[in-house]
Amino acid sequence: MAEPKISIQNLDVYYGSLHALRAVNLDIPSNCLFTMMGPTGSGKTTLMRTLNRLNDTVAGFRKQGSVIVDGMDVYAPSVDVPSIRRRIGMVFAVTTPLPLSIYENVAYGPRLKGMKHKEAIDEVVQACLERALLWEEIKDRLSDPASRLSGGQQQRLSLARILALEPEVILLDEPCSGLDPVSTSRLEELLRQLCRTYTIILVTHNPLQAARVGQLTAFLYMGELVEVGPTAQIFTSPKHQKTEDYVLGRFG
Amino acid sequence: MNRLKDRLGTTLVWLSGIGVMLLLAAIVGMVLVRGIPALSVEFLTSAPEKMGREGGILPMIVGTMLLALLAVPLSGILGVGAAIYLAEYTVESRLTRIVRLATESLAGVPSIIFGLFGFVLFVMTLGFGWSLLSGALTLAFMTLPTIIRTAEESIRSVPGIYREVSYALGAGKWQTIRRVVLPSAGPGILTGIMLALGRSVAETAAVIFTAGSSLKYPRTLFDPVRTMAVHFYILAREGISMERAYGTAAMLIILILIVNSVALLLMQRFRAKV
Amino acid sequence: MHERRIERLLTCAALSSIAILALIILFIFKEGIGAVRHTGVLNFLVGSRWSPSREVFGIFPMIVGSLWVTVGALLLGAPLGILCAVFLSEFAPPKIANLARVSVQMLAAIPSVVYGFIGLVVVVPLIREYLGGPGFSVMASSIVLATMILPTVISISLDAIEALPSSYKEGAIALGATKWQAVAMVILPSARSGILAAVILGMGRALGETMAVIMVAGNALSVPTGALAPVRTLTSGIALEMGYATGLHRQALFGMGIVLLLLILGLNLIASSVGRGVRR
Repeated sequence: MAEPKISIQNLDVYYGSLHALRAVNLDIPSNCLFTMMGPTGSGKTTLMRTLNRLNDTVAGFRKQGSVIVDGMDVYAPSVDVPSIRRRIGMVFAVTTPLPLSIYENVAYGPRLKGMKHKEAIDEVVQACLERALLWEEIKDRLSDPASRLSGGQQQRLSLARILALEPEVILLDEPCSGLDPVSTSRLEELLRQLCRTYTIILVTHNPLQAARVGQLTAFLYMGELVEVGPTAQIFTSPKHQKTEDYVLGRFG
Repeated sequence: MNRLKDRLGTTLVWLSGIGVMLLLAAIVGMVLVRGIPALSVEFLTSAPEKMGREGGILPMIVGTMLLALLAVPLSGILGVGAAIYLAEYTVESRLTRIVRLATESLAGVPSIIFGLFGFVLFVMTLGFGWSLLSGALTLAFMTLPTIIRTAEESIRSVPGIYREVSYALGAGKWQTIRRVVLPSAGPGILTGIMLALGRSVAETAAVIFTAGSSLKYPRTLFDPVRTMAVHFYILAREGISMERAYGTAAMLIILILIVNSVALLLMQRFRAKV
Repeated sequence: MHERRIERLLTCAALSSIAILALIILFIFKEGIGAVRHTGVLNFLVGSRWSPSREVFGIFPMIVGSLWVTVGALLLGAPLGILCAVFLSEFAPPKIANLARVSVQMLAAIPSVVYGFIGLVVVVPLIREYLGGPGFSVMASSIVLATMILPTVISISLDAIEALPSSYKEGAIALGATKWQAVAMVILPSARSGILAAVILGMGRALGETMAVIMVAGNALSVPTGALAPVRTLTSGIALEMGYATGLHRQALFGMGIVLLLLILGLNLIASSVGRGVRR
């Protein structure tokens, strides 16, 4: 089998005295649409934020174990943190565009990297908005404030923003919470297309979404990785009772 | 009996409220009514003659503007820098509490003390003499607390999620502050700066002992200068020319009203965004 | 790296407040302590003769003058200010409230010399005409100062009142109280520490005011005998003679500055410990 894109080994995470993740071992292959499901508080978001080192900004964060991406430890002392966050991009649950125009939102990443020429930035902005299936809708109002877009459009904008950084992995933390069913299915379809090029990790508290979208699914409960495997198998013949209870809606 | 007390109380409250507004109207009204007739083009574009008994107030207008335009950027940069540090780089600690106490204390120091301080430090010890430089530095120190207070409040009210998104896109802390936080806090910060500007224009005690009271146009940073407020004070107190005193006061009030109206408008825009 | 340098610069900016305050205290003390020691601290504070030409520096009349004038300003301005704050938060309909708030902010922006001037041409003649005395008096100063401290008292009291949970007022009204009763029996008592802080800060402002007082106080060198008597305050004393004072005389003026600074810094400290927890 090929090298996993991301290998999480014996990961424990603490926020102060709160033990948020317990001994998680997980391999995520490349170009996969990987979903993580579990009830609120199970540690899914914590796990994601630990991958792109966004938890570094949280006071009291402590970890044991390792996160290996492409064979390299993400937490090695010599690592440049901003570059990790560009390789592993993140879409948040709250659809928050930066308080800038649509154009500037997408151009933010490239500008940070030092891109200066207007034509080059224009190209990148258009390409990313096209890939995020947003270009047609907003191509005439690129300088409008991004806050004027609808929820679904803002989420696609968030994706475009990340695509502009040419990431390898895209993390999405409950991206469809607060979206109507139409926008949700559009976003899900977009993700299916994107996972041919990128590794996509989707966190959801809705098991049905995991069933619809994921190729591989992991189930987390109370900070522990209970079970992981091909989506079809998780949902039709789960190995653990807890998984079966969650999938059948007995709790969550 | 209770109803009587109630009536009395309510009347008093209403009287106070309306009274304060009438007070403002009376003060501004009186100055403008008597002062605007004196605001001829000649008054505003010529220099004073015979110690201010005749002529205009152009050097004073120039002096006031120069002083304010020197002082405000200085305290703006220092103040916004301090506000960024307090809001973004520290958690509440002993040090931040001391900084806040110092800032609040500084806000309460009367302008005459700033005048004395500016005199000793800038005019005498550092040898700048009565000058634009001494006056501007003194005013900058005086308006610093105002800017720190408003800037910190604006920066703190920028939602945390904006910062998170920026970090997630690979930005560092200072890049995030420069590209996302400061633009977002902009109107609020500008409000503080406009308030500082208004204070610089209105100030007398701190200015008269540091910038001097020369009637001539300042040519260098080290030349003394007389601001409109100082000129007004001298004209009124020495009884040199009531007409010109009113005119100077009217000009001063108009300028201050403009500056503060802009500040208020900015503040409303800032509040609306939040 | 780049980020470190920025952080260091910003730290310096933040420490500037402390640095400036320290410098002010340092320089004022340094310049003034000579005269105070020359006269003796007790004589300086309690002596009632101020005669620079004879190197006699007793500032008691001016301390008393400052206090009288300030107390007068508080008696007039504090109740008015507090009532106005109540008006703004409880009684005024939104449009009038907005207008009133703007008025208060504009009042704060008017230069002190303008206040003094209006005191000179309006208040002083009125007092002279209808109440007697030279017109230049403690009363004139108090009236002018009361107007000037209104914005301070109003805005800080308003902060204190608005910081109260709305359940306080709603609870009172639910029990059948009228608006005024709710204010008098619930809101004002609950906000009293914030209002006290407002009054103390207003006191500091009145103590520190210079230009307005110079124009209406009358500049007498003895302890004022009544509200209609002319008076000299610490602030006007400094400002009037600073223009031509030299040597020991100038040092004595700085000595007055020391007293003023200590009084006001002290008041500020009291105000912030009293009003702790008022700011949102």
